Amino acid sequence: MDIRAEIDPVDRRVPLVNPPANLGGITSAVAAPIEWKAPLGWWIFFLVSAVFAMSYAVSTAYLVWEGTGIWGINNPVAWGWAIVNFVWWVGIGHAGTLISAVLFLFRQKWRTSINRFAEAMTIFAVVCALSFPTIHVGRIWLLYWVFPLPNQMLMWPQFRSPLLWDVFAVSIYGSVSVLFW
Amino acid sequence: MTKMPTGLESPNSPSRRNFLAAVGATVASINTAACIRKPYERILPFGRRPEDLVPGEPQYFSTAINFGGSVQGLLAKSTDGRPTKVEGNPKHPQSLGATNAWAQASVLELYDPDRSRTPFVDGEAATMEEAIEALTAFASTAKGDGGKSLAVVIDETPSPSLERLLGRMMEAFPGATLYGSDGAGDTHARAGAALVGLSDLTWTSAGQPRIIATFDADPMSTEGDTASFTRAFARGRDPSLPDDQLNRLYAAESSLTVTGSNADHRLPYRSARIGDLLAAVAAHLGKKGFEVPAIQASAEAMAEPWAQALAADLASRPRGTTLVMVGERQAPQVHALGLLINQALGNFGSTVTFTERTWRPRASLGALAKAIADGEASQVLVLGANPVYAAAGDVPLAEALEKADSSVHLGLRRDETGGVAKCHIPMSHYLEAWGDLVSRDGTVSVQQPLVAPLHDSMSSLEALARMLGEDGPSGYDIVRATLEPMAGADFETTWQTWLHDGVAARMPSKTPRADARALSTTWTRAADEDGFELDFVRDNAVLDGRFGNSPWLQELPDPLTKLTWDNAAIVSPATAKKLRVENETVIRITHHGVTLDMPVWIQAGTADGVIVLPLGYGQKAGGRFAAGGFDVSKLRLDAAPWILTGAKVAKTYRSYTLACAQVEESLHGRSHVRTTTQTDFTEDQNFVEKFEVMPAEEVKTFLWDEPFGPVDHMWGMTIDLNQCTGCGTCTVACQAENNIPWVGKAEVLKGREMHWIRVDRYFEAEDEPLQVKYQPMNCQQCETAPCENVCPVAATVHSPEGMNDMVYNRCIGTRYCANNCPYKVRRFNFFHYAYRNDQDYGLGIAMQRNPDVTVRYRGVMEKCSYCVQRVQRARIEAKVHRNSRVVEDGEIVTACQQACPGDAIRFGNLKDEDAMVTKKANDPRNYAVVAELNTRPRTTYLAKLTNPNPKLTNG
Repeated sequence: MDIRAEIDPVDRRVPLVNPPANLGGITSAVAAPIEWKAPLGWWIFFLVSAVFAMSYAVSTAYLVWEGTGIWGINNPVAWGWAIVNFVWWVGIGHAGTLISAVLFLFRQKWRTSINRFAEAMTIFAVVCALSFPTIHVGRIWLLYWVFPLPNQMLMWPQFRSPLLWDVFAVSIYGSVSVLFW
Repeated sequence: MTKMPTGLESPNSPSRRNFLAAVGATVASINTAACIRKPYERILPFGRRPEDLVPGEPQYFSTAINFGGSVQGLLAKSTDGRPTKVEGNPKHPQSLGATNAWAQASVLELYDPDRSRTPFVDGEAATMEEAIEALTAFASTAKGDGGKSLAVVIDETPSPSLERLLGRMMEAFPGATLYGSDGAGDTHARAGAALVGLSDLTWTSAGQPRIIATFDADPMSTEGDTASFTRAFARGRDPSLPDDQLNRLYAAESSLTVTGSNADHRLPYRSARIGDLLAAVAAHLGKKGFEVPAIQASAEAMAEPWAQALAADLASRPRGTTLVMVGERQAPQVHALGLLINQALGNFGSTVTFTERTWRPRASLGALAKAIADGEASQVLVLGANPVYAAAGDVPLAEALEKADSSVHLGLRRDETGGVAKCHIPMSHYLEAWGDLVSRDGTVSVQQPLVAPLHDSMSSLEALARMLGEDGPSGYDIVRATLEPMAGADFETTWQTWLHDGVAARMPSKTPRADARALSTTWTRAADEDGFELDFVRDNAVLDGRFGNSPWLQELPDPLTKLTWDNAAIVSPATAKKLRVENETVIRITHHGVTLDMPVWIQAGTADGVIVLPLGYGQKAGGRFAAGGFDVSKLRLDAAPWILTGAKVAKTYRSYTLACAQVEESLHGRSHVRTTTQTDFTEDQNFVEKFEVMPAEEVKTFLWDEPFGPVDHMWGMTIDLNQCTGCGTCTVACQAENNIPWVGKAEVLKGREMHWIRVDRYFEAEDEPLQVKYQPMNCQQCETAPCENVCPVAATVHSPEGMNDMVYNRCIGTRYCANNCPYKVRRFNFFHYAYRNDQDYGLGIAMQRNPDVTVRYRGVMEKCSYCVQRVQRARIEAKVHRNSRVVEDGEIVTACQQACPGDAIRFGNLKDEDAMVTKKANDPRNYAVVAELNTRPRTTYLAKLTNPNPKLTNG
C-alpha cells in the first residue's frame, strides 16, 4: 500500500514530511541511526559524556559515603552548590517547555519533531534538577519520609514546608512533561 | 600559605586508599549504608549493685580545682562511675557556684589520650615498681648531701597538705631549693607585697567595690579569682541598686582583655608605662591628702585625663568602697604601690581581704638552669609542672636537665620536661586523687577522687611522701592527717560534712598594715625606648599552655579576637597601618638577637606600638592538639618575662591562615544589642522600645493556630547583657553537657563549628573610645518558630510548653531550618564529627559523654535544647518526691546558667509569677532580638547599662 498522498485530505495542503512509500521503508528510516555503525564523532561525544556521567556517579557515591560537607557549604550558607544546580536544571527544563509551548500555541504543524526533542530535554533536565534536592539531604537513605506514605506511626510530612511543595511541584512538572512528550 | 598543623585532617583531602574504599563500598552497599556503623557490644550488668547507686542516676561529689593559685569549688558529676561534667559548688564562699571555661574543660583532660600511661625510666617504658625504685634511689642520693644538690620545681598549688609535706621535705633535705615555673601564678604580686612588708599573706578582692581600677590586670578572665570577681562585678551593676552603689570600672591596659572590654573607661596604654600611670594616680591622690608614697610620675601621665578623673572618683567615695588592681605582668614595685593606694583608700579588710597562706619563695627557672650548669643542683624533681616549655627563651633548661645527674618528672603527659627527665612518672588527674586546696579568701576544700586512676599514676602528695621514705602512702591519709587539726573534737563527723559540702575549715583573715618607706626610694621608671613593646599575655583559652591539649578550649573562640586553634601577634589598627600588614600577614619580631615569625591579627583597642603575644601555643610535646600556633616563649627573658621594649618588627611576604569564628565586627547600626548609660536609663525606663523597628501593634499575628494549650509550664530564658562579660564559659559548659563535638581548625575555617551557644562580640569604634558589646546567642525557642514551618518531615516541632524540639531521629538533613533561622543558631553535622572525635580521642571522649543526651549522627541538624534532659529530670523528681506536676523555680538550672560566672542567664517557668526568669522577663530592660519578625522568642535579653564618669564623657 502506498501511504503517500500528494494533498493532505484534512488540511488540504502538501505534507511537510514526505514519508517513505511503505511501512518497511518507515521502519528502515527510523531504525537507520541504530543500525549504522556509529561514526567516530559519535564515539568522541559519547566518551566525553560518559566521563561526565561517571564523574557524577562517583562524586555522588562519595557524597553519600562522606557527607554533604564535601561541598564546602557551611552554617549560614547551607545549600550552595545543590540549589544552584537545581535552579539551573529547572531553568533548562523550562526552556524546553517554552519551545514546545510556543510552537503549540501558534499551532505550528511542523512542531512534532521539535516538540519531541524539546520535551526530551525538559524531562532529562527535570530529572537532573530533582537529583540535587535528592542528594543534598544529610541522610539520603531516609529521603522517602518526604512522601506522604502511609505508616504505622501516622507520621505525615510537614505540608507547610515549601520544600515539600517543591517535591510536589517538580513531580507534577515531570509528570506533565512526560505526558506531553 | 603555611600548612595548617592542628586539629583534624582536612576532610577534603582523603587518601587515595580511603577514597577508593569509600566509592567501592558505597556502590556495593548502597542499600545497607544505614547499618554499617552499628557497634557490636556486650552488656555487663552489675552482679551486686553498689549501695546508693542507681544505674543511670548521676551522683555528685564535691571537689575543687586550682589554676595557678586561684581555687574554684566544684561539684563533679559521676555517671555510672565516670566523671562526665563539673559544675560550680554554690556552697563555696568564694567561687559561689561559678566556674570558668578551664574548670568546665577539666573533665575532658581526665580522658586526654596523650596522658602518659606508664612510667618511663631512662627513656624506656617501665613498670610503676621500677619507677618507684628510681624515685627511692633519687631520694636517697639527694639525702646523701643533705639535699644540697636537690632542686624541686613546683607550680603554684595552694594546698595545705602539699605545704605540710614540702615543710617536712625541707626538714629532711635542708639544703634543697624550690623553683617555680608558673606562668599563671602570683610571683610578681607576692614580691610586691614583700616590698611593703606583707610577705606570707595572700589577698583577693572581696565585697562590692564601687570604683574598680585595673592596671594591666584581667581579673575577669586570666588572673586571680575570676569567678568571684565577675560575680561581684555583675551584682554591682544591677540598676535597682542606688546610684552611689553602682560600680564603675576603669581599666588601663595594653592588650584588650575581657576586663578591659567591660570597662566604663578603658585606656589603651603601653604596659611598660602603666606603673608610671599608677604613680600619677597616686600623686593626684596625694594632693588630695591621701597617705600615699610620693613618687614622681611623668608629666605625660600626670596630664592624662583618665588618671585625673579616676583619682577624683576614688577620692570622692567613702573609705573602703574602692579597689585598685594591678596585673601580674607588672613589676613588683607597681604591685606594692597598688597595695599602698588600697591601704590609703581604706580598702584593706573591706574590698581587699588578706589571709595567711604559706608561701615558699621560689627561684626562677633561669636560676635552676644556672644551678644545674654550675653543678650545684644535680638532682631535679619536677612535680606537676612543665618547666622546659615554660622557661623563657634565654634559659637552656632542656640541655641543663639532660646534664643533671638525675631527674624525676611527675606530670600528666610525657611533655617537653618528661621527655628529657631520666624518670617520668604519670601524675593522677585531680578527679582521680585525694588532695586539698585553700582559696585566696582562706576557704579550705577537699579534693575527692571520683574514679580510681585510669592509668598507673600517683599524685604530687604521694610522690612527695615517697621522697620522704613512706612506703605505699595514700593521698587519703595524707589529706586527713593535714586537716585533722583544723577540725573540732569529732573529726569523723566533721570530715563527712566537709566532703559533703566541699568546704572545710577557713583560714583566719588578717588586716595587716603595709609599710610604705621602702618604695619611694627604690621606684624606677622605665626609660622610653624606640621600637615596639612586646607584651606576653596569658591566653584566654589555654592560660600558659597547661590547657593546650584540650580540643574544647582550642576551639573556644577567644572572647575578643574570636580566633580558634592558634595564637597570633595582636596589634592595633594604627600599628598594622604603620607596618603595612593585614590580618594573617607573617611578621618577623626581633629582640636581643632572637627572631620569631608569627602572623598578625589586628585588634582594635590594643595600645599603639605594642605587639601582644599570647602564651601557651606551639607545644612540641604537649599532645596532639597542643602543637598549633606559635611558641612565643622563645622571645621571653628570664629576668623580664612579661614585657620587653625596643623590639624590631619587619614585614614578611608570607601569610598564615588563622581560623576566626566571627569576622564581623560591627552591628551596622542594628538594634539586637541595646545599651545605654545608667543615667539615661533612670530618666527613660523604657528606652529599649526606642530601638524597635516596628511598633508592637503592627507586628502581625500568627498565621497558624497558637500551639499552646493549658500547660503547667512555659519555659523561658533571659540573658542579662549587663551581667555578661563575654568570657565564653557557657560555650564550654554546653559542650560538656550536650556532647557537642569539636570540628578542628579546617572545619572552623569553613564556618562549621558546632557550639550551641556562641558569644557574639561587636565593636563600636566610631565613637572613640572603643565600646565592646557581647551577646550570647543560643536557640531562641521562638513561639512562632520559622524553622518549624519549613522542615518537610516535621523533625523540628513545638512542645506545648514552648520548646522548639529537635527530633534527631526524624531529621533527614535538608538544612532548610538553618536557612530560615533568623538567629543562625542551628548547627549541621556536615560530617560524622562525633565519630571523628572518637577516632581522635579514643575511648576517652565516649566516657565523658552525657548518657542523657543523644550523640548526633552526621547529616543531622542540632541546636540548643534548653537542656531538655535537665528539665525532664527535674520534672521526674518533682513527681517522685512531691507528687507534683509543677517544677519549682530553681529546680532546673541549664548548663550555661550553672557555669556563668556573671549569673547572667536565668531559665525557668514564665507562668510562675515569682520565678526569677519571669521577673527578668518583665524588667523594663527586657527586649527580644528581631521582634519585628514576629518570631516571639522565649529567650529574651536585658539591655546593658554602662556607668560612665560624667567628667570624662562630657569632655
